[in-house]
Amino acid sequence: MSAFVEFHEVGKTYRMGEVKIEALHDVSFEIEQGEICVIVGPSGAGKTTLLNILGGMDTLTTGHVLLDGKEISRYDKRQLTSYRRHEIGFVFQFYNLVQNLTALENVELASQICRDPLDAMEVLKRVGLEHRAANFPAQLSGGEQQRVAIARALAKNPKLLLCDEPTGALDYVTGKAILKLLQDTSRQTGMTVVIITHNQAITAMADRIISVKNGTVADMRKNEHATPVELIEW
Amino acid sequence: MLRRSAFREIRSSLGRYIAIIAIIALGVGFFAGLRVTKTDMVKTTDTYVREHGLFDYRLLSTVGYDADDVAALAALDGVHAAEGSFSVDFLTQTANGNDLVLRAHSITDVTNTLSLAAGRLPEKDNECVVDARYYSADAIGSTIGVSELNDEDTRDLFRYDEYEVVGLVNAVYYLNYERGSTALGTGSVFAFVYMPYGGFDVDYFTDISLLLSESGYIYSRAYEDAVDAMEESVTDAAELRAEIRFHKLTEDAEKEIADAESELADGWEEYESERAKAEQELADAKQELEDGEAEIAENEQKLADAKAELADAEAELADGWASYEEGLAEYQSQRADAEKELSDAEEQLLELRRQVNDGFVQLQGTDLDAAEAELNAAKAELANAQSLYRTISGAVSSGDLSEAELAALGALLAEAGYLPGGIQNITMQELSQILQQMSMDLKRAQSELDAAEKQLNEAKAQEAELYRAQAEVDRGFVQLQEARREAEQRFADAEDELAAAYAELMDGEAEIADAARELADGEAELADARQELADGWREYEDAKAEADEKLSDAYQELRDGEAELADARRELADLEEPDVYVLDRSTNVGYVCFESDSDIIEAVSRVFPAFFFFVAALVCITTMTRMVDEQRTQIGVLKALGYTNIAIMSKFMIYSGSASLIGCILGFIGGSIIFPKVLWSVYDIMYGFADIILVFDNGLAVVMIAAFLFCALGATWFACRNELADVPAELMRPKSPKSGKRVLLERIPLLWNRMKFLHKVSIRNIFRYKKRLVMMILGISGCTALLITGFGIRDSIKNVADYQFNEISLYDYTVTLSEGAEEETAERLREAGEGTIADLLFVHESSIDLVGPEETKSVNLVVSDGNLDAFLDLHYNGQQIAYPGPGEVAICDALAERLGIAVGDMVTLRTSDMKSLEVRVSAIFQNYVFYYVYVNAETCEAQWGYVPEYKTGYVTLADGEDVHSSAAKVMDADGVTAVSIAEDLRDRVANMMSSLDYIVLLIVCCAAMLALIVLYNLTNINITERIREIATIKVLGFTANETASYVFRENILLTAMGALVGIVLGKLLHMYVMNQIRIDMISFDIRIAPLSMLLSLGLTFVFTLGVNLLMRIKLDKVNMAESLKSIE
Repeated sequence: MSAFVEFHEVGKTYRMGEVKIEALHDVSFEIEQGEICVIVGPSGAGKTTLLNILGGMDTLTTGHVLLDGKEISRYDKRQLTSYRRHEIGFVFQFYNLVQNLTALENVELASQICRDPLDAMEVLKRVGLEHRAANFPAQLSGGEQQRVAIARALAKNPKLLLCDEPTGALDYVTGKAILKLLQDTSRQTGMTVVIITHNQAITAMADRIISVKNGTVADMRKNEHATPVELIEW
Repeated sequence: MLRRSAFREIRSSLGRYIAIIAIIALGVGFFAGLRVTKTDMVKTTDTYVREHGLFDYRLLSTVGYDADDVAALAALDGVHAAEGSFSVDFLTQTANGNDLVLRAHSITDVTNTLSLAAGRLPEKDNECVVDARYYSADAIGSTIGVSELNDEDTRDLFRYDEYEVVGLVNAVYYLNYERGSTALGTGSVFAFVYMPYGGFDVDYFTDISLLLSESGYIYSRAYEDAVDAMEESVTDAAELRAEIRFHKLTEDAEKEIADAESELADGWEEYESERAKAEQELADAKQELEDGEAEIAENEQKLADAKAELADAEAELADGWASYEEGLAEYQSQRADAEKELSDAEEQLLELRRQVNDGFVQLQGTDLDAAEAELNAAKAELANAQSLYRTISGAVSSGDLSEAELAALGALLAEAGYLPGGIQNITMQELSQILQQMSMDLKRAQSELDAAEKQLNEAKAQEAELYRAQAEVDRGFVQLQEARREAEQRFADAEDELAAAYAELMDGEAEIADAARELADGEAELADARQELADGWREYEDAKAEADEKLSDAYQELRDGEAELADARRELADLEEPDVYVLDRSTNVGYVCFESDSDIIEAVSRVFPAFFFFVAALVCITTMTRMVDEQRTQIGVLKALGYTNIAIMSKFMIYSGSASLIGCILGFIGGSIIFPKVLWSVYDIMYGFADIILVFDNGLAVVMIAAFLFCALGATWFACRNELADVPAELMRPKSPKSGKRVLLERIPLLWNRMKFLHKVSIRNIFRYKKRLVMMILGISGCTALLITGFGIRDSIKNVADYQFNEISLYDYTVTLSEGAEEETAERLREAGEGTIADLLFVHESSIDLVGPEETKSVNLVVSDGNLDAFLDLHYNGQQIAYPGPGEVAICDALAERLGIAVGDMVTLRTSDMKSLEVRVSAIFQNYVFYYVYVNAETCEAQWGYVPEYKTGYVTLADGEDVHSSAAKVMDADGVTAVSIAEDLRDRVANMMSSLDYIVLLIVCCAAMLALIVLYNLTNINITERIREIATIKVLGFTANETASYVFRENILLTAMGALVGIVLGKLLHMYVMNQIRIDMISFDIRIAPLSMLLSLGLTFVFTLGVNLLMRIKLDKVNMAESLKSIE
């Protein structure tokens, strides 16, 4: 069985007028289904570009990207939209909740548009926020907002959950709670979760750790003994 | 550094910058444009009026003025110039037979001058220039004649019968389209004509125009004061001059009367002598004619006698001819008989002769002499034979004869031929036999000889007989010859006789012919004489009639002269002190109307611009606030770096200030040019005497720039102040996002729960940004309202002519008669119309002044017996209105409104010769074109003692008839001076009104710009404000369409709300504008067609969709990576 996510010699070059900026080059890695994968690296290493490409938000310059056997690197704009819509759940660093919608409605915003959504309220219950369903984001704490964001991503029942610095804007305790939620979700539902972070400490919870440095993969290793989030300290 | 940052900011957000400039330019343009239009219009008029010396005072007097009066007035203190002029109304006939009333003016040099539109000014006295408004350049070269229909007094005022048109002019005296009313024709003047003073055969002026040394800007207080200040001295001078002229005239008249009296006396004398002479001449002529008549009678008798004689002669001749014919016939028959007899006799004779000749021919065959000789020979022979026989017989009888004897006998016999065998010895026996035979032969020859002898004798007798007959025939011929000669002689005599008779008769004929010719000649002569006589009589009669007529004319003339003289004496006796009228410009219709019409613009400029101004200010404020918000972090950084608040603020100030300044300048210049030009082109319908003079009101410009700078800078300052109050640390942190809120609608679960999820989002978003909501609704409703107003104006105006001619005036054309209608007039017109006329009614129509409390308006008076139903539908708000009864008047709504008249009020109607009708207003009716008042004929009868002549006929057509062909037929009828077709009038009014489309177009353009700018600005703000949200939903997998509708649904909803508000606003605005626009003589129906409503709403949505389409590009450019950024 081939890997769930495959990157083959992926390169990405931005063109800024005359200047070419090579954001990624020769990136290759694989992620198995059901794994929690942490992509770690310092700022400017190319993590976000990688995430953009995997999330169907950006195209690559060279190489191939496959998800569940489908080559998304060959998708056109419309196919990419459909890909984001049906295959991917996205969790942002700053939650990106629609301020004008309640927690439940934010979840519904996602479940509205996909083929086989989970019940919004159910998902909200799963992230432990059923009592906050009618609240607007401004009325929620950061952790709660991020949990709503996760619920929004999960409600689409995606194949892949992408998280961009999910704890970046959160304090330690809340951050841990969020990571726990992600780990639990993966373990309970077999969801493949990709977390992007600059925090090395988080790697402990991962099944697979990919280190990115200067636009390429510096190291990829499997972690057979993923630590439960509660035991991680940073 | 900060300035550079400001310019970079402008460049990076050029769309927004331009949008701010545009909305400000629009607001300022509208405001300044409409404000300045009135100034421009008044300025244009002032310049025009000044250049062409429109009178400050116009003096009229009942006795006119002369050159001395003009000089005296010109010398008056404070008077810059005085000029006398002459004017008179007259009728002229157009090429197609219509009679028109024209007003002729003398051309003046200083006051009330002309501006040439085409051609040239008159150089000769029989040339003229005409009204450029009502004549086209085609008229140049044609002539304007003084119609025979004018009364003699009027015709006498003109030196020539015809004037050649050499040019078209505009006259300052007639600023607008109105040409005034008149006592002639239909009561209104069609156009003016200017000609040299020498073209009139007069030695006085009807009016004097004065220009004051000190005046002022038109319609200004200063001007009015300057004019008022002169009123007393001008009035005094005018009255004094009139008095002087009056005395001069009185003296002249007295002298004239004296002259006339002596002239008249001479006239009578001459008349008498002429009459005597004429009578004598006539008597002589009559005598001569009577003599001639007697002579003719005599000659006629003679001729009759000759005629009788001739008849007798003719009868005689006829008898002669008859007997001649008889004689001739007899002669001819006798001659025929005689000829027949003679020819019969001749025939007999010829027959006889032929018989005789035949006898001779028969005899000729037998020669009688030969036959006798033969007979004698035969007798001799016989005698020989007998002697022989006896010899022989004797011999024989003597018995036996010797042979010699026998031979001798035989020889004898042979010689006699009895012996064929020759001389043989003959025997006695043979001899006996021969003897026997001889005996027998002798016997036979004897008998034969006897027979021949007998025959010969017979022939001899016959011959004798023939000779005898021949002699007889010869004798007969002689006798016949004789008889013939005799007959010939007789015939010749008879013929001679007949010829003589014939000649005699022919002579008779010739004689008679001569006599007849003579007679005819005589008759012809007589006829000539008679003709001559008749001619003589006729001549005599003619001469007599002529003489009579001349005499009676002379008599009449003398009598008239006497009457005139009496009149003149009476007039002189009655001559009142002259009335003097001192009129200022407020009596000039064009001048006065222009002021009120230009006020309309000012009134309209009070609402629209304020609205635009408000929207522009709001847009400016919102945009700047948003911009400052966006740059919060930067502000924080700058502040942290130690820049002062003022320095930081200056960046935004430069941005908003420069946008305001540019917008103001562009808007001001553009508005000051476009608006006056467009509006002036509309006013051109009524005025159009000169090109508009553009004025730039710098004061206004300064005020507006100040106002916008204040708004923009104020808004910037206010927004910055809020931000700058925070400490830098706080500023650099993202501003906590505005909390979501539930909207009122959510409290109605019945509705809310049924809505689609995404719609809920939109609704909540709409109410989330209150400022935007308000502005959006303001902008959109403004746009819709403007569109509705624009189209509504068009609806209200465009159809005025249709309403008037389809719903109120039901007749198809009107006929103007030269004389008042009589009983048979209708029948005559119907016949002329050849069955095309369905219905026909005569009324009186004329111009009359309606005296209102503040203003006097010239209106159309209709007097009728009141049975107008088939021709007019007088109604008010659908309510039928009864024709006014005695002492009552019905007036049209526009007039009532303008003059402030209500039902039940008493009003005065005054004709141009100052006769008045006092009537009570019984009803007010709707009417759109012209002012109409209706009065009952009984009212006139009661107050004036007579009913004015019914010279106007309303005509309705039978179904399916062509109005033009019917009108043409009726036009040819006697006594019809003009036909005016309602359809043509309607088209003309409609054409005039269609110029207002420019205003509508202007409004639609403004509305479009308003909508586009507001929508663009707000949508732009909306997108930048929510860029993270948009990026996020894109990441969530919203398709481009879904994203667009997520964002733009709000626009559409807001547009719908704005449009709804706009409908209400539009109706109000339309009503307000229509109330402000009052074009004289035409009132508008305030209505908005459903189509216009739909069109306005539709266009509003089209603008929204257009902006959405434009913004979609921007939306598609939103990068999803934005979602990953931290909140700034």
